[in-house]
Amino acid sequence: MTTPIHTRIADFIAGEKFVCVVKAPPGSGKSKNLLESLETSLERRARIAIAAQTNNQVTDLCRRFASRYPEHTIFRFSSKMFSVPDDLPPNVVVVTDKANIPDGGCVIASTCMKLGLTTLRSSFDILLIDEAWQMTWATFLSLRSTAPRYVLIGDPGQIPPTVTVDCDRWETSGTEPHYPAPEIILGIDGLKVHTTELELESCFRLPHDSVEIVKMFYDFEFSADAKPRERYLRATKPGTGDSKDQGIDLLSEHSSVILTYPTEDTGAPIETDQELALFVAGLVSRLLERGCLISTNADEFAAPRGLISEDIGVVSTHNQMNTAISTALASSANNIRVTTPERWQGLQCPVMIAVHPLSGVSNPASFDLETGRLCVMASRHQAACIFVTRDHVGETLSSRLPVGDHALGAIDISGRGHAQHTSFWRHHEVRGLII
Amino acid sequence: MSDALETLLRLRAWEQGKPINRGQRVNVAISDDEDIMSVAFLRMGGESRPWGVAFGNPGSPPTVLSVPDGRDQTLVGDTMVILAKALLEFFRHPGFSTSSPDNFEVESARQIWLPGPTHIEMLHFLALTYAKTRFKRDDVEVLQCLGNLANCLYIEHQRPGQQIVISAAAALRECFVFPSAAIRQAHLGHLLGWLKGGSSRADRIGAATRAEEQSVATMLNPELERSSLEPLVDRWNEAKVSGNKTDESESERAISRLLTKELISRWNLTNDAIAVLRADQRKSNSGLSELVKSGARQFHELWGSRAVKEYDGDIPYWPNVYTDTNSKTSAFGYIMRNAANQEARARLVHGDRELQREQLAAGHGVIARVVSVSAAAASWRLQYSYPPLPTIEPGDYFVIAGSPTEQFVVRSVDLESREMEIEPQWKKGNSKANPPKLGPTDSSWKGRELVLLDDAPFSLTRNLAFRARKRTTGVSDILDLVQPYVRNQATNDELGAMTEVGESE
Repeated sequence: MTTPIHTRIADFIAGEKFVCVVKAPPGSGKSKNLLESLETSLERRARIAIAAQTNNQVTDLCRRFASRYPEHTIFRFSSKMFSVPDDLPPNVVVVTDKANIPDGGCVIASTCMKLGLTTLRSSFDILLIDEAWQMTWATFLSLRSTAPRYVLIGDPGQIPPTVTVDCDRWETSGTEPHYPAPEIILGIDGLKVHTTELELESCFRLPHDSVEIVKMFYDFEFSADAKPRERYLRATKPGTGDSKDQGIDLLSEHSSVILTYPTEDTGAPIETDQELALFVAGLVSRLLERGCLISTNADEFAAPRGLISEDIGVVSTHNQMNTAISTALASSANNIRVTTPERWQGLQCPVMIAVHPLSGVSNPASFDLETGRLCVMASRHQAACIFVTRDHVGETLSSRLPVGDHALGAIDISGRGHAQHTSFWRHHEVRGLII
Repeated sequence: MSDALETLLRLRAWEQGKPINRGQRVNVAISDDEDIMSVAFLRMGGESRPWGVAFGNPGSPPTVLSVPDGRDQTLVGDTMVILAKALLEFFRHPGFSTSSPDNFEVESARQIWLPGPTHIEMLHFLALTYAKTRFKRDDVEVLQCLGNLANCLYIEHQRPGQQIVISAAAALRECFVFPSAAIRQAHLGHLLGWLKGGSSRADRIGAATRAEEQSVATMLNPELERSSLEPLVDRWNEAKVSGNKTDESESERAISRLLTKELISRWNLTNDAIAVLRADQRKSNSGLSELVKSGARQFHELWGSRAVKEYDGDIPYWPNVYTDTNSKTSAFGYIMRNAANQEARARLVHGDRELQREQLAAGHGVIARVVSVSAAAASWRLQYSYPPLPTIEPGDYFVIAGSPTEQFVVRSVDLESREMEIEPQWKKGNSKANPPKLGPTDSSWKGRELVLLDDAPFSLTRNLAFRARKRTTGVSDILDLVQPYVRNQATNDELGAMTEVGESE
């Protein structure tokens, strides 16, 4: 039996190497492993800092720490403007002044930005960074004084840090400041001997066949914890036979389908696709009308439960499209989370409806072809995922090749994205999963 | 701006048959004539060195320099020494002027205007050619100074919101919406044709189309270069080899005449753009002066302080002409560029209602009505109407459009009812301000409709940049484990050997 990853992270913490990078597929228990690895360090009263990218992520980590280690206190280090949630466990202590961080053994949690901006009175033994692929190398460098040793854990297939400025100057720098920090660390020759690289091997969230699909976005192997056909969505009432019903019917045997919607001769709408928003809302209604049963884990395989609106999530890359979908959903929108892939990161839902990121895009640019969003969309569901799109996507991928305008020696992100998008589409096409 | 909004504006411009104003204010700083150096370049096909250059203040005739053959590095070097002295004096290099870059806080802000993107690329070519040159000539240090200045200007040009290196075509696009395809809008003559080409749509289209037939880039029209210049250059080279002085000087004069005409045409177009912008009836954005000041400070750090240091006999770390190979330097530059982006938005958006509309359309703010003002808890309840943002979260910051010091933090939000509770972050009103600033608990806020914009914490982002660059304190630095990245960097000067360049700070 292989050693659990949290034990190997703990071994790293107890050892002498400087960096541990943990690659994690979606739904593989990143945060759980991160927290589990702390047990020994807590016993020996080490100084531990935990960082995440957003306040919500930090608060979530604090809650989980408090639940896992009720006998220990975690100091939630934040700005004075931070709205302290009313229901924080008693062993989560909010600290806004660095002077109130204990000098001895303790655990603090904060955002990378806050830690990066703070000159601490004394440094920590180790800094653990969650969702590390969302952090740029530049931001990581601002954290160097927090601790001399680091654990970076995250999902390399997801959305990279948002870049809003011209980065041409650094495309060939060797340590591109706008790239995800773990990617740079793993690419620096001088750091290799000081780095431990680990990979989480099981995806607990996704159905078995969905894992086969999302693996195309990763450069390491992992497998599904779910057994084949253990997770499903099954309608109990017959449908009318239209494309929505055909798609729903396929989900009893497969966990991912693509429903296409005709593109007008004049092309898809260039901005908000109101027709597609209505189609999504209609699909939600149909799922609920057909009395679907879902199985999201091994226990539910033989005893599936009825699908309710809270079990459905919707994701689209553009805020305006999400607003249009929310409006189309009307009263049911209250219970249905509709938002962008960026906001869905780290979350899961039994059934996901995703507006394909290339729907309505006649000439895909690098933003459209970046597969982090597609990967997030395809990896939130526990039972079923329905992609909805205008029907031109297959043709667009065949006829529009991206321009290789990246710097010499730099990664061809658009080209790689085009290849992965094409593989994703073909995967569904050859299995008859595009309707 | 979103593609949809841009398309809409272009259609509106087409309907009106002329370019329409982009923004309620002019959002580009334009210095006085004596503080503008207008520069236009030409280069020979396949070469990166300038074949010719025209430069000078817009109000005076330009200095025009060219060489018979753009491949002759000695002749090109001679002209670049002249350009170098003029540019270095203009930017107050202590070795070439009576002032100093250190006076940036009290001296007027200076700008270099170029016709368009290919001319800005020439700055990079100059940097590649001269910053590290080992050219064996007495005035090589002047060329090195030019290379480093050109490199810093090129880097500065990439900084969002900068007002020092101005592309005339980009400045026009920044201030007007043109009813033509994006690719055609890279041509400065095309833009000026639309702006000055007559009173009807047909006249303007005609003028813009005719202007497009003339090259404005650093490359000449290929037909002109092939048919007219190439034979002259051949003749000049043959005359030089054979020692035929008459032929040599005649062909040189003929080449110069052709190149001068082309250079002056580009130089004039740049000044026409400046004149058009100066004649605009709109006021300048009130945020521009702060942006100019901030830019002057940053350009001083990038170039001025180093130039002074070098003049004083020290050896400064000039930015690498290719990239920043030092991790700390590149991280610093990247985060500072993000801060500049935030700052540019924050400085300009409050002074221009159209920019505010763009920000709202892009989801960077909301229009909201104040439902209640709680004096006791210093909190407001708001109902927002447009856009119906699904992304507002507790902890987000907003400011009132037009009043950047009136800041709020979101305490709670109900996305369904579009209600949020916000906490004002300013403490007191100011009755003497114009317009008077209300206190956060003033009940007269109730019922008001406000435009709230995302608040950009650019000063925090800047601090983060300095933290990324700083050496660690109290702990060992992981960067000590990173082997210095050494590359063989060839200068463009074939006289020089391959130069090993290691870390740059």
